[in-house]
Amino acid sequence: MNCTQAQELLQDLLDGRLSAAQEREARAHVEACADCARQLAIYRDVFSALESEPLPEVDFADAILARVAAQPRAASVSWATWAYAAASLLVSVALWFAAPQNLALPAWAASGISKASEWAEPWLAPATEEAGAVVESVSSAADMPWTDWRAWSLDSLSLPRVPLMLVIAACVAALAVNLSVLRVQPQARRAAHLVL
Amino acid sequence: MARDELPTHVIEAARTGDAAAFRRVVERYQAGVFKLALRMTHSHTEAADLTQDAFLRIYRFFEKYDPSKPLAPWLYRVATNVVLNHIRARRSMASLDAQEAEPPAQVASAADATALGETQELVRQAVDRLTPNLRAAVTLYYLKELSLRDMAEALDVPESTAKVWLFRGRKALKDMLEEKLEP
Repeated sequence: MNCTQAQELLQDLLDGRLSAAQEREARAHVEACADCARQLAIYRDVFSALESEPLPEVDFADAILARVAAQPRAASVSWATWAYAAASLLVSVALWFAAPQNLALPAWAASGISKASEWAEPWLAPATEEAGAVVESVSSAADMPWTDWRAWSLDSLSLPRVPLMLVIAACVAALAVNLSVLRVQPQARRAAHLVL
Repeated sequence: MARDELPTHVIEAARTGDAAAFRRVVERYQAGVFKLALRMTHSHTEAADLTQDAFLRIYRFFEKYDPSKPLAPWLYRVATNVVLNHIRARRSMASLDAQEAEPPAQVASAADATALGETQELVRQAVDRLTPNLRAAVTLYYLKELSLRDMAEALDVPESTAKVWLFRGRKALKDMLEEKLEP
Protein backbone atom coordinates (compact mmCIF):
# COMPACT_ATOMS: atom_id res chain seq x y z
CA MET A 1 0.00 0.00 0.00
CA ASN A 2 1.39 3.43 -0.96
CA CYS A 3 0.76 6.80 0.69
CA THR A 4 -1.98 7.84 -1.75
CA GLN A 5 -3.93 4.64 -1.11
CA ALA A 6 -3.37 4.83 2.63
CA GLN A 7 -4.51 8.45 2.92
CA GLU A 8 -7.73 7.60 1.08
CA LEU A 9 -8.47 5.10 3.86
CA LEU A 10 -7.57 7.21 6.90
CA GLN A 11 -11.10 8.53 7.45
CA ASP A 12 -12.65 5.06 7.21
CA LEU A 13 -9.91 3.76 9.51
CA LEU A 14 -10.94 6.23 12.21
CA ASP A 15 -14.64 5.52 11.57
CA GLY A 16 -14.05 1.78 11.94
CA ARG A 17 -15.44 1.05 8.49
CA LEU A 18 -12.51 -0.88 7.03
CA SER A 19 -12.45 -4.63 6.72
CA ALA A 20 -10.06 -6.47 9.01
CA ALA A 21 -7.56 -6.98 6.20
CA GLN A 22 -7.72 -3.36 5.04
CA GLU A 23 -7.31 -2.11 8.61
CA ARG A 24 -4.23 -4.27 9.17
CA GLU A 25 -2.67 -3.04 5.95
CA ALA A 26 -3.49 0.62 6.62
CA ARG A 27 -2.17 0.52 10.20
CA ALA A 28 1.00 -1.20 9.05
CA HIS A 29 1.62 1.57 6.51
CA VAL A 30 0.88 4.36 9.02
CA GLU A 31 3.30 2.87 11.53
CA ALA A 32 6.00 2.83 8.87
CA CYS A 33 5.27 6.23 7.28
CA ALA A 34 5.77 9.46 9.28
CA ASP A 35 3.77 11.62 6.85
CA CYS A 36 0.71 9.33 6.89
CA ALA A 37 1.00 9.06 10.66
CA ARG A 38 0.89 12.84 10.87
CA GLN A 39 -2.12 12.96 8.57
CA LEU A 40 -3.89 10.39 10.74
CA ALA A 41 -3.17 12.40 13.90
CA ILE A 42 -4.59 15.58 12.33
CA TYR A 43 -7.71 13.70 11.21
CA ARG A 44 -8.07 12.33 14.75
CA ASP A 45 -7.95 15.84 16.25
CA VAL A 46 -10.47 17.16 13.71
CA PHE A 47 -12.89 14.28 14.28
CA SER A 48 -12.55 14.60 18.05
CA ALA A 49 -13.35 18.33 17.89
CA LEU A 50 -16.36 17.72 15.64
CA GLU A 51 -17.70 14.95 17.86
CA SER A 52 -17.25 16.82 21.12
CA GLU A 53 -18.80 20.10 20.03
CA PRO A 54 -21.90 20.47 22.20
CA LEU A 55 -25.33 21.22 20.84
CA PRO A 56 -26.43 24.82 21.40
CA GLU A 57 -28.88 25.47 24.19
CA VAL A 58 -31.94 27.00 22.62
CA ASP A 59 -35.63 27.13 23.46
CA PHE A 60 -37.96 28.02 20.62
CA ALA A 61 -40.82 25.79 21.75
CA ASP A 62 -43.14 28.55 22.98
CA ALA A 63 -42.61 30.69 19.88
CA ILE A 64 -43.04 27.74 17.55
CA LEU A 65 -46.18 26.47 19.27
CA ALA A 66 -47.69 29.96 19.16
CA ARG A 67 -47.12 30.14 15.40
CA VAL A 68 -48.38 26.58 14.98
CA ALA A 69 -51.64 27.47 16.73
CA ALA A 70 -52.20 30.27 14.24
CA GLN A 71 -51.60 28.24 11.11
CA PRO A 72 -53.80 25.51 9.60
CA ARG A 73 -52.32 22.22 8.53
CA ALA A 74 -52.07 21.36 4.88
CA ALA A 75 -55.24 19.76 3.55
CA SER A 76 -53.81 16.74 1.92
CA VAL A 77 -55.94 14.85 -0.54
CA SER A 78 -54.95 11.25 -0.24
CA TRP A 79 -54.76 8.85 -3.12
CA ALA A 80 -57.85 7.14 -1.75
CA THR A 81 -59.81 10.33 -2.08
CA TRP A 82 -58.63 10.85 -5.64
CA ALA A 83 -59.54 7.25 -6.40
CA TYR A 84 -62.99 7.83 -4.93
CA ALA A 85 -63.46 10.98 -7.01
CA ALA A 86 -62.26 9.24 -10.17
CA ALA A 87 -64.51 6.25 -9.54
CA SER A 88 -67.45 8.55 -8.93
CA LEU A 89 -66.75 10.35 -12.18
CA LEU A 90 -66.62 7.08 -14.09
CA VAL A 91 -69.86 5.92 -12.50
CA SER A 92 -71.49 9.22 -13.41
CA VAL A 93 -70.38 8.85 -17.03
CA ALA A 94 -71.45 5.23 -17.16
CA LEU A 95 -74.90 6.00 -15.76
CA TRP A 96 -75.35 8.88 -18.14
CA PHE A 97 -74.67 6.77 -21.20
CA ALA A 98 -76.34 3.64 -19.90
CA ALA A 99 -79.56 5.22 -18.70
CA PRO A 100 -82.45 3.82 -20.76
CA GLN A 101 -84.63 6.25 -22.71
CA ASN A 102 -87.76 5.05 -21.07
CA LEU A 103 -86.90 4.44 -17.46
CA ALA A 104 -89.54 2.29 -15.88
CA LEU A 105 -90.48 3.60 -12.45
CA PRO A 106 -92.19 1.53 -9.77
CA ALA A 107 -95.98 1.89 -9.85
CA TRP A 108 -96.12 3.68 -6.51
CA ALA A 109 -93.46 6.21 -7.63
CA ALA A 110 -95.14 6.86 -10.97
CA SER A 111 -98.50 7.31 -9.21
CA GLY A 112 -96.98 9.71 -6.69
CA ILE A 113 -95.28 11.77 -9.37
CA SER A 114 -98.47 11.93 -11.40
CA LYS A 115 -100.54 13.12 -8.45
CA ALA A 116 -97.91 15.68 -7.49
CA SER A 117 -97.85 16.99 -11.05
CA GLU A 118 -101.62 17.33 -11.12
CA TRP A 119 -101.58 19.20 -7.82
CA ALA A 120 -98.81 21.59 -8.90
CA GLU A 121 -100.14 22.12 -12.41
CA PRO A 122 -101.91 25.45 -11.77
CA TRP A 123 -98.76 27.01 -10.30
CA LEU A 124 -96.11 25.47 -12.54
CA ALA A 125 -97.82 25.77 -15.90
CA PRO A 126 -96.92 29.40 -16.56
CA ALA A 127 -93.32 28.93 -15.41
CA THR A 128 -92.98 25.71 -17.36
CA GLU A 129 -94.31 27.31 -20.48
CA GLU A 130 -91.93 30.23 -20.12
CA ALA A 131 -88.98 27.98 -19.40
CA GLY A 132 -89.86 25.83 -22.37
CA ALA A 133 -89.93 28.89 -24.60
CA VAL A 134 -86.52 29.94 -23.36
CA VAL A 135 -85.08 26.50 -23.88
CA GLU A 136 -86.59 26.27 -27.31
CA SER A 137 -85.20 29.65 -28.34
CA VAL A 138 -81.75 28.77 -27.07
CA SER A 139 -81.89 25.41 -28.75
CA SER A 140 -82.96 26.98 -32.00
CA ALA A 141 -80.19 29.55 -31.81
CA ALA A 142 -77.52 26.99 -31.10
CA ASP A 143 -79.04 24.28 -33.23
CA MET A 144 -78.77 21.85 -30.37
CA PRO A 145 -81.36 19.19 -29.55
CA TRP A 146 -81.91 20.31 -25.91
CA THR A 147 -85.54 19.32 -25.96
CA ASP A 148 -84.83 15.90 -27.32
CA TRP A 149 -82.08 14.89 -24.91
CA ARG A 150 -83.66 11.55 -24.08
CA ALA A 151 -83.27 10.46 -27.69
CA TRP A 152 -79.52 10.86 -27.63
CA SER A 153 -77.45 7.77 -28.19
CA LEU A 154 -73.80 6.84 -27.98
CA ASP A 155 -73.46 7.32 -31.68
CA SER A 156 -74.43 10.97 -31.59
CA LEU A 157 -72.23 12.03 -28.63
CA SER A 158 -73.82 15.43 -28.76
CA LEU A 159 -71.99 18.29 -27.13
CA PRO A 160 -74.89 19.44 -24.94
CA ARG A 161 -74.65 16.22 -22.93
CA VAL A 162 -71.14 17.12 -21.78
CA PRO A 163 -71.92 20.18 -19.64
CA LEU A 164 -74.43 18.33 -17.48
CA MET A 165 -72.07 15.39 -17.15
CA LEU A 166 -69.29 17.72 -16.06
CA VAL A 167 -71.56 19.37 -13.51
CA ILE A 168 -72.36 15.97 -12.01
CA ALA A 169 -68.68 15.02 -11.97
CA ALA A 170 -67.66 18.36 -10.47
CA CYS A 171 -70.20 18.02 -7.68
CA VAL A 172 -68.98 14.54 -6.88
CA ALA A 173 -65.34 15.63 -6.94
CA ALA A 174 -66.10 18.64 -4.74
CA LEU A 175 -67.85 16.36 -2.28
CA ALA A 176 -64.82 14.07 -2.22
CA VAL A 177 -62.41 16.97 -1.65
CA ASN A 178 -64.56 18.41 1.12
CA LEU A 179 -64.68 15.04 2.82
CA SER A 180 -60.90 14.85 2.57
CA VAL A 181 -60.44 18.31 4.06
CA LEU A 182 -62.77 17.37 6.86
CA ARG A 183 -60.76 14.21 7.37
CA VAL A 184 -57.42 15.97 7.93
CA GLN A 185 -58.73 18.57 10.36
CA PRO A 186 -57.72 17.21 13.79
CA GLN A 187 -60.58 18.85 15.63
CA ALA A 188 -63.12 17.51 13.19
CA ARG A 189 -61.53 14.10 13.33
CA ARG A 190 -61.73 13.99 17.12
CA ALA A 191 -65.35 15.16 16.97
CA ALA A 192 -66.10 12.46 14.44
CA HIS A 193 -64.53 9.87 16.70
CA LEU A 194 -66.77 11.01 19.53
CA VAL A 195 -69.83 10.76 17.31
CA LEU A 196 -68.92 7.38 15.92
CA MET B 1 -24.59 7.05 17.51
CA ALA B 2 -28.11 8.46 17.52
CA ARG B 3 -29.72 9.86 20.62
CA ASP B 4 -32.92 8.26 21.80
CA GLU B 5 -35.94 8.53 19.55
CA LEU B 6 -39.18 9.84 20.98
CA PRO B 7 -41.77 7.21 21.98
CA THR B 8 -43.92 6.05 19.08
CA HIS B 9 -47.16 7.24 20.67
CA VAL B 10 -45.74 10.75 21.09
CA ILE B 11 -44.68 10.91 17.44
CA GLU B 12 -48.09 9.63 16.33
CA ALA B 13 -49.91 12.13 18.53
CA ALA B 14 -47.77 14.94 17.14
CA ARG B 15 -48.40 13.70 13.63
CA THR B 16 -52.13 13.98 14.15
CA GLY B 17 -51.92 17.52 15.52
CA ASP B 18 -51.52 17.14 19.28
CA ALA B 19 -49.85 20.35 20.44
CA ALA B 20 -48.31 18.91 23.60
CA ALA B 21 -46.79 16.03 21.67
CA PHE B 22 -45.48 18.36 18.98
CA ARG B 23 -43.84 20.45 21.70
CA ARG B 24 -41.87 17.35 22.69
CA VAL B 25 -40.76 16.92 19.07
CA VAL B 26 -39.61 20.53 19.03
CA GLU B 27 -37.75 20.21 22.33
CA ARG B 28 -36.06 17.02 21.14
CA TYR B 29 -34.78 18.29 17.79
CA GLN B 30 -34.60 22.09 18.02
CA ALA B 31 -30.94 22.16 19.06
CA GLY B 32 -29.85 20.04 16.10
CA VAL B 33 -31.93 22.02 13.63
CA PHE B 34 -30.62 25.29 15.04
CA LYS B 35 -27.03 24.09 14.82
CA LEU B 36 -27.53 23.12 11.19
CA ALA B 37 -29.11 26.48 10.41
CA LEU B 38 -26.36 28.36 12.26
CA ARG B 39 -23.62 26.48 10.42
CA MET B 40 -25.22 27.23 7.07
CA THR B 41 -26.07 30.90 7.65
CA HIS B 42 -23.38 32.06 10.09
CA SER B 43 -26.09 34.20 11.71
CA HIS B 44 -27.83 33.55 15.02
CA THR B 45 -30.82 35.66 13.98
CA GLU B 46 -31.31 33.88 10.69
CA ALA B 47 -30.73 30.51 12.31
CA ALA B 48 -33.41 31.22 14.93
CA ASP B 49 -35.91 32.26 12.25
CA LEU B 50 -35.09 29.26 10.06
CA THR B 51 -35.44 26.89 13.00
CA GLN B 52 -38.96 28.16 13.63
CA ASP B 53 -39.79 28.07 9.92
CA ALA B 54 -38.53 24.49 9.71
CA PHE B 55 -40.72 23.31 12.57
CA LEU B 56 -43.73 25.12 11.16
CA ARG B 57 -43.20 23.23 7.93
CA ILE B 58 -42.72 19.98 9.83
CA TYR B 59 -46.00 20.54 11.66
CA ARG B 60 -47.82 21.50 8.47
CA PHE B 61 -46.75 18.40 6.56
CA PHE B 62 -46.40 15.98 9.45
CA GLU B 63 -49.09 13.71 8.02
CA LYS B 64 -46.82 13.00 5.07
CA TYR B 65 -44.26 11.41 7.40
CA ASP B 66 -44.29 7.61 7.24
CA PRO B 67 -44.52 6.47 10.88
CA SER B 68 -43.02 3.08 10.03
CA LYS B 69 -39.65 4.81 9.50
CA PRO B 70 -37.44 6.75 11.94
CA LEU B 71 -38.46 10.35 12.45
CA ALA B 72 -35.01 11.98 12.46
CA PRO B 73 -34.17 11.48 8.74
CA TRP B 74 -37.53 12.89 7.58
CA LEU B 75 -37.43 15.76 10.07
CA TYR B 76 -33.90 16.79 9.14
CA ARG B 77 -34.74 16.47 5.46
CA VAL B 78 -37.51 19.04 5.90
CA ALA B 79 -35.24 21.27 7.98
CA THR B 80 -32.34 20.97 5.52
CA ASN B 81 -34.60 21.90 2.64
CA VAL B 82 -35.83 24.98 4.49
CA VAL B 83 -32.28 26.08 5.27
CA LEU B 84 -30.84 25.39 1.82
CA ASN B 85 -33.80 27.05 0.08
CA HIS B 86 -33.22 30.11 2.23
CA ILE B 87 -29.56 30.20 1.31
CA ARG B 88 -30.34 29.82 -2.36
CA ALA B 89 -32.89 32.60 -2.22
CA ARG B 90 -30.62 34.84 -0.22
CA ARG B 91 -27.62 34.48 -2.42
CA SER B 92 -29.46 33.94 -5.73
CA MET B 93 -27.30 30.94 -6.47
CA ALA B 94 -28.20 28.67 -9.35
CA SER B 95 -26.09 25.86 -7.98
CA LEU B 96 -24.58 25.01 -4.61
CA ASP B 97 -21.57 23.37 -6.23
CA ALA B 98 -19.43 26.48 -6.00
CA GLN B 99 -15.77 25.58 -5.72
CA GLU B 100 -14.68 28.62 -3.72
CA ALA B 101 -14.76 28.39 0.05
CA GLU B 102 -16.98 30.97 1.70
CA PRO B 103 -15.72 33.06 4.60
CA PRO B 104 -17.97 33.14 7.66
CA ALA B 105 -19.99 36.26 8.37
CA GLN B 106 -19.14 36.08 12.05
CA VAL B 107 -15.80 35.25 13.59
CA ALA B 108 -15.67 33.63 16.99
CA SER B 109 -14.76 35.95 19.83
CA ALA B 110 -11.88 35.38 22.22
CA ALA B 111 -14.41 34.33 24.87
CA ASP B 112 -15.78 31.67 22.53
CA ALA B 113 -12.27 30.37 21.87
CA THR B 114 -11.63 30.01 25.59
CA ALA B 115 -14.89 28.23 26.25
CA LEU B 116 -14.72 25.81 23.35
CA GLY B 117 -11.06 25.08 23.33
CA GLU B 118 -8.65 26.30 20.77
CA THR B 119 -8.82 23.22 18.57
CA GLN B 120 -12.56 23.11 18.61
CA GLU B 121 -12.75 26.81 17.73
CA LEU B 122 -10.31 26.35 14.84
CA VAL B 123 -12.36 23.43 13.55
CA ARG B 124 -15.58 25.40 13.89
CA GLN B 125 -14.15 28.29 11.88
CA ALA B 126 -12.88 25.86 9.27
CA VAL B 127 -16.33 24.24 8.97
CA ASP B 128 -17.79 27.70 8.34
CA ARG B 129 -15.46 28.03 5.38
CA LEU B 130 -16.60 24.86 3.65
CA THR B 131 -18.83 25.05 0.59
CA PRO B 132 -22.54 24.65 1.45
CA ASN B 133 -22.90 21.01 0.40
CA LEU B 134 -19.82 19.87 2.30
CA ARG B 135 -20.73 22.01 5.30
CA ALA B 136 -24.24 20.54 5.41
CA ALA B 137 -22.89 16.99 5.17
CA VAL B 138 -20.32 17.46 7.95
CA THR B 139 -22.78 19.28 10.22
CA LEU B 140 -25.54 16.70 9.80
CA TYR B 141 -23.16 13.79 10.32
CA TYR B 142 -21.76 15.19 13.55
CA LEU B 143 -25.16 15.98 15.04
CA LYS B 144 -24.89 12.29 15.96
CA GLU B 145 -28.57 11.82 15.12
CA LEU B 146 -28.18 10.27 11.71
CA SER B 147 -26.43 7.36 10.06
CA LEU B 148 -24.78 7.90 6.67
CA ARG B 149 -27.93 6.61 4.96
CA ASP B 150 -30.13 8.90 7.06
CA MET B 151 -27.85 11.81 6.29
CA ALA B 152 -28.18 11.09 2.58
CA GLU B 153 -31.96 11.07 2.95
CA ALA B 154 -31.85 14.37 4.80
CA LEU B 155 -29.75 15.87 2.01
CA ASP B 156 -31.96 14.26 -0.61
CA VAL B 157 -28.99 12.74 -2.44
CA PRO B 158 -27.83 9.17 -3.04
CA GLU B 159 -25.87 7.61 -0.20
CA SER B 160 -22.75 7.49 -2.37
CA THR B 161 -22.98 11.25 -2.93
CA ALA B 162 -23.43 11.91 0.79
CA LYS B 163 -20.34 9.78 1.51
CA VAL B 164 -18.32 11.74 -1.04
CA TRP B 165 -19.45 15.06 0.43
CA LEU B 166 -18.55 13.93 3.94
CA PHE B 167 -15.18 12.64 2.77
CA ARG B 168 -14.35 15.83 0.88
CA GLY B 169 -15.58 18.00 3.74
CA ARG B 170 -13.43 16.28 6.33
CA LYS B 171 -10.45 16.23 4.01
CA ALA B 172 -10.87 19.97 3.39
CA LEU B 173 -10.96 20.54 7.16
CA LYS B 174 -7.81 18.49 7.59
CA ASP B 175 -6.05 20.44 4.83
CA MET B 176 -7.14 23.81 6.26
CA LEU B 177 -5.97 22.89 9.76
CA GLU B 178 -2.85 20.91 8.87
CA GLU B 179 -0.43 23.65 9.82
CA LYS B 180 -2.34 24.76 12.92
CA LEU B 181 -2.83 21.26 14.30
CA GLU B 182 0.65 19.87 13.81
CA PRO B 183 1.11 17.04 16.30
